[in-house]
Amino acid sequence: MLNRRDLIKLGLYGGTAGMLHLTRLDSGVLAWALDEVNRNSGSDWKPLAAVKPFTQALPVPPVIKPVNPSTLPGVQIIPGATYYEVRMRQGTAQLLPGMPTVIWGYQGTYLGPTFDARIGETTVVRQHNDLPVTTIVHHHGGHTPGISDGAAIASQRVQPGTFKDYIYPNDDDICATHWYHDHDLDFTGHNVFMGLQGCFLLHDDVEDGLNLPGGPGDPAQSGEQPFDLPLVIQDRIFDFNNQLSYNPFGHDGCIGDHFLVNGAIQPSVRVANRKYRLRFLNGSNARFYQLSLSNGMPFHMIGSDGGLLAASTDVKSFLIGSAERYEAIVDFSKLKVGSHVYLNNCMAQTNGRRPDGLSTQCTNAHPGPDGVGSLLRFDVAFSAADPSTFRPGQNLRTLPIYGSPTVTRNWLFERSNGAWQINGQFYDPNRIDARVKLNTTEVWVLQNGGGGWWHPIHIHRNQFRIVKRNGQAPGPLEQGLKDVFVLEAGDTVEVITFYNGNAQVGNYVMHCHNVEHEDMAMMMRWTVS
Amino acid sequence: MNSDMPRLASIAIVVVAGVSVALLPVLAKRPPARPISPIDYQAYTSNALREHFPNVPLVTQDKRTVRFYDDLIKNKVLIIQFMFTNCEQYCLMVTPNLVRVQTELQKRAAGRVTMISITVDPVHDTPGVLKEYASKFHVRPGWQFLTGQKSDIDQIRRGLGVYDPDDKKIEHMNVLTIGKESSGQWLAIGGLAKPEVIVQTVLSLTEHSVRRTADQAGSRLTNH
Repeated sequence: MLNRRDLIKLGLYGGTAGMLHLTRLDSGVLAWALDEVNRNSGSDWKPLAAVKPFTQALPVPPVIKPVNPSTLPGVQIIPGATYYEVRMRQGTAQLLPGMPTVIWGYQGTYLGPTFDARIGETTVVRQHNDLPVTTIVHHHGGHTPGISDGAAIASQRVQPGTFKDYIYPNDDDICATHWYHDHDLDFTGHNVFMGLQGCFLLHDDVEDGLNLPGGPGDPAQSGEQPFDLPLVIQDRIFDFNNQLSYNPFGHDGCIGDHFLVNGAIQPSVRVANRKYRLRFLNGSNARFYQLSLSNGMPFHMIGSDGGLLAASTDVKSFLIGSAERYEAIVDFSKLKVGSHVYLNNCMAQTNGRRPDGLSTQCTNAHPGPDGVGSLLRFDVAFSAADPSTFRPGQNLRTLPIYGSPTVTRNWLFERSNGAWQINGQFYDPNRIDARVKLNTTEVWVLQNGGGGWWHPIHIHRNQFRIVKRNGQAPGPLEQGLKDVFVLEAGDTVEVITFYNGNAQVGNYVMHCHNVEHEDMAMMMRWTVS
Repeated sequence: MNSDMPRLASIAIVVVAGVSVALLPVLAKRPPARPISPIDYQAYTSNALREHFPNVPLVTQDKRTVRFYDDLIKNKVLIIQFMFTNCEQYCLMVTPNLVRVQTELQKRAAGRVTMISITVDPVHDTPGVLKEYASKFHVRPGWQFLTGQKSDIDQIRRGLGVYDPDDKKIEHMNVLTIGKESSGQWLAIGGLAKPEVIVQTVLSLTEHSVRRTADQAGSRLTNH
C-alpha cells in the first residue's frame, strides 16, 4: 500500500498520475485525498531511501579563495580588485543514502562556494561554463553594471565551453546577504533546482562596529561552525534513483517534498549556548515558508534582502518567499547544554499558486508534501564565551532616504491568456518596458492582478524601500532594504529607490521569483542610462 | 508501448499506472534495456521525461495515423500548439503568428525544427477540417495538424502541463510547448510572443548538441 508521501510524490510529479487534494476533515485536520485512485499497487516499486532526520551535520559552504589575476588570461586588471575563478559543472552529491545525486553546481558542488567581499572592493569572477547548456550568472542583490548583472537576455548567455568575466563593483551596497544563481532564459527553474546557487556576503565598517555574533572579533571555535551561519532553505523532489527530478511541464511552480538546509536534508547543527547570527535565504523555486523556533524563542530580526534594518525587531515567526533573505540573532544562552531547538516551517503549500495556510502544529520530524515540519535541529552542545554586544531592539544603521520621486510606474502582475503577464504582456527579451534615467528617484507600484496566485517579485540592480503595502506603512520587517517583494493575492506594494551609479547602466529585468512563473514569461526588461 | 523503454522509466510508469490505470496505457513487460546512468544527465533526463509523452495514436490532416511519441516527439526539436478550428480568439491569432515563425525557421534552420498543432476539439476537427484550416493559413510542409481521441489528446495535454487550472475553456491553448527531446530541455512560451522571440527560443535549442565534458566522462557513480 502506498502511503501519503508516496502518493503525493506521484501526484506532484508529472501530472499524469491522479490528482491530489488537501482536504480539511471535520476535525479540522488536513488530510490528503487522491482522486481517480486505484489503490491496487502490486508493483515492484520501492520507496526512496529515507534520510533519518537530524542525523546529518549542517554543511556550511566554504568561502571561495581568490586567485592571482595572472592566472586568468585576458582578464581586465582593476586596481584593488579581488579575482576568483569558478567552473559551472556537473558533479555528484550524497544527498540521500545510497546512490549519489547528479547535480549542477558552481565548482561542481550542490551549493556553490560563498563569496565574502567588502563594500568598495571590486570582485571579478571568471565563470567557466562546463555544462552542456547555456548559463547566465546573476548576482542577486548586487548593484551591478548591466553587462555583469546576469539578466535573462540572450546576449548575457555563457555558451558551453566558454567563460565570462563578471565584474561586481560592490560600491553602493551595504553589508548584506546577497546570493548568486543561474538566470538563463527559459531554464532558470531547472538550473537552480539542479544546484546552481550560492551565497554572496558583503561586509562593511558599520557592521564591524556593531560587534555582531560571528563578526571579525568572534571567530568560530575549533571544530565547530561559525557564529554567523547562512541557512539556505530549499525543497526538492527526487526520483527512484535518488536523482533530482525536475518537471519542466509544471508551470505553476515546483513544490518539493524533501527539505534541505545548506544542501543537506533536515540536518542538525551543534551550537553553543550563546547568540548566533543566522542568515536565512529561501532558495526554493516556488515555496513560501513561515519560520519559527520550536520552543517559542523570538528571532531578533536584524536584516532583510539588502542588509541591516534600522533597528532590531523581535518576531516569533516570519514569512519568507522565494529568493528573500532575512537575518536574525537567535539567543541560545538560556538553554541547557544537551537541549534541542527545531527550526520549523508552519506554512502548508502544495502547489505553486499560493500557500494553503498556517499550521499550529509545526514540530514534526517528517514534513509531508505540504512542507509543515522541522527543517533543521539546533543541538545546544557546548559552551562558548560570547564577546558580541548585540541587544534586542538596538539601533543598527541609518538607511537611505531617496527624496521625491519624479517618475511613478505601475506594474500589474496577472495570469492571463493561460500564462503570466506583466501589464498584459509576455516577456520579450528584445522589448524594453522602462527606460530609467541615472540619478533619478522613482516609485514603482507593483500590483497583483488576482486569480489567487502569489508572486515574489524581484527587481534587479537596486535595493528598494517599501513605501506602502496595501496603502499602509510596511511592517517592521519590510522597513529595510529589499529586492524581493511578496505580492500575496490582491496585494499592491509601492517601492522607491534612487538610481545612482554611473557604472550601473545597461539592461536589467524585473520578474516573478517563482522561477517557473519567470520561465513562463512573467518578466520584463528595463534599462538605465 | 515503446519497445526500448529503459527499465528505470518502466518502474515509474508501473507505479503511476498502478495508481491511475485509466489515464495511462498498460505497460507491456519487456526485458529491461541498458539502464542509462544519471551521469549522462541529458540522456537520463530525456528518458525520465518519457512518461510525459504518451505514445497514443493521432491522425494527421492527410489522414495518416502517427504515434505521438515515436513519430512526433522522439529525437525532434519542435513546437507544439493546441488549438481548435472554431476558436475565435487566441488560436485565431496564434496560428498566423506561427505561420510567420515557420517562414523564418525555414529560412534560418530548414528541416531542423518541426511544428505540430493538436486540436482540442477532435469531434469537429476531422482531418479534412484541419487540412482546410491549414490551407487557409498557407501552412507549409513540416507543420502537421493532428486530431485523435479526445481522451488521448487530454492525456497529452496533461503530460505537457498544458491545461489551465482556472479556465476549463481556454485551457492554456495559446501557450506553446517548445523542446528538444534528446536533451530533455522543455519550456513553454506564450503563443502570442513575437515570432522573432519564438524563433530565437527554438533556435537556441538547435545550437549546441549534447556535449560530454571531461568531468562527466571521468566521474562515476558508486553504489549503482
